[in-house]
Amino acid sequence: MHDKETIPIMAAQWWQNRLHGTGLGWLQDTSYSLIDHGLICAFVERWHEETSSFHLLFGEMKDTLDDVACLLHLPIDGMLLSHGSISRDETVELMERYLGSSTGDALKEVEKTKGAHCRFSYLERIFKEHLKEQRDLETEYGVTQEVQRLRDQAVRIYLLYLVGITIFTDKSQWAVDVVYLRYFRDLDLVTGYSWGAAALAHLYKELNNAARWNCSQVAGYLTLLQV
Amino acid sequence: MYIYKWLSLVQVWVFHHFLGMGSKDVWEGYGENHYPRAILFLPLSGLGTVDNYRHHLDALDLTRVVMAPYGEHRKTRQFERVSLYSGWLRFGDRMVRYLPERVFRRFEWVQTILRHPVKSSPIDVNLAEITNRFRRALDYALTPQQLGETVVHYVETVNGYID
Repeated sequence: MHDKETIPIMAAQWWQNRLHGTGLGWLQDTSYSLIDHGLICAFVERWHEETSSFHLLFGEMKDTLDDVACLLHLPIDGMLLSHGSISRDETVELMERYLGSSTGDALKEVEKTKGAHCRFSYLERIFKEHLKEQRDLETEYGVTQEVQRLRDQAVRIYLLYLVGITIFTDKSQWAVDVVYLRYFRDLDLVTGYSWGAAALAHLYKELNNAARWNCSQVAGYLTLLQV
Repeated sequence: MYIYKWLSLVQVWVFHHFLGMGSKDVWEGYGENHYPRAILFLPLSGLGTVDNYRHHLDALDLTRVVMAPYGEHRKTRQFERVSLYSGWLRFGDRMVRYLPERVFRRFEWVQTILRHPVKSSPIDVNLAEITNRFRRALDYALTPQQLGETVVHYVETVNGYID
């Protein structure tokens, strides 16, 4: 997403304002790519699903909503994200409407990912296209409605990518669930959701899963991710 | 197969709460007023073996634990009462328990004896009900009566908590 063409455009005030207005902008800086397997394993071994906490000698410890707020600056007060899985039709519709995807592209993503996902590589491609197109249009005609529309779509593309590689990483390493676009429909309302609660619930869920495996298996999956 | 990348949040969290575990290198450009706390520690140092960390946790006492690490950071990010919501959270179609009363000292209250998790948050909800309850999160937050006494040293528990 960040290359020599996009970086200058993303330095613009409109980009910074729109991205940080959603409350999710910091996610681009707060995710560690290097994971200390030993550290994670030692804690995972002490995780208990029934209490959602680490059991230590002096008592229990857990990540709280306050931790998520301070560590990541995600909004914690607001509505819970409430979705199940979505149909292929809805996936295509969301992509067309909110990312500006062509029907052909959207159908291809659904087909390639065998479900309601789209690939990160696709998002990277259309992100660049959107940024360049809005730049060229702005140079020629100023900030028209069309430019605004392209900018909003670019922000949504970026947000979908961002949550897909950070708080909502799931079993598909190369694609993201399109359902999150529902929460990006109106960019002014993004901050009204408790992204912190979603991130925390996802973390607990991942810990519950990890606690069922032994350490070498957990380390194996973590290594896989760093390739 | 499940992927655990998001577990890197645990790592960031450990750096803040457990002295001597993981990274001690801080980023010099960090400013309390500008950045989220996760940016403070640099991730590259401190890779250890799982045995080292196991021994560390086995020998750990409260002098090496930071219950409330965000003092300086409160100017930037104030405490929000929603953190004291107690009950269920959901992610997609999965439900998880969120029980801040189990870590009272984190919120500057004396740790009380814990109830059985099924009593604290009975399984009498469905996904839609969880969404409804969180909408009125403060109604489901711990009350002053439940909170009890405040801590001075962040280590206090009621008698009989852990013998």
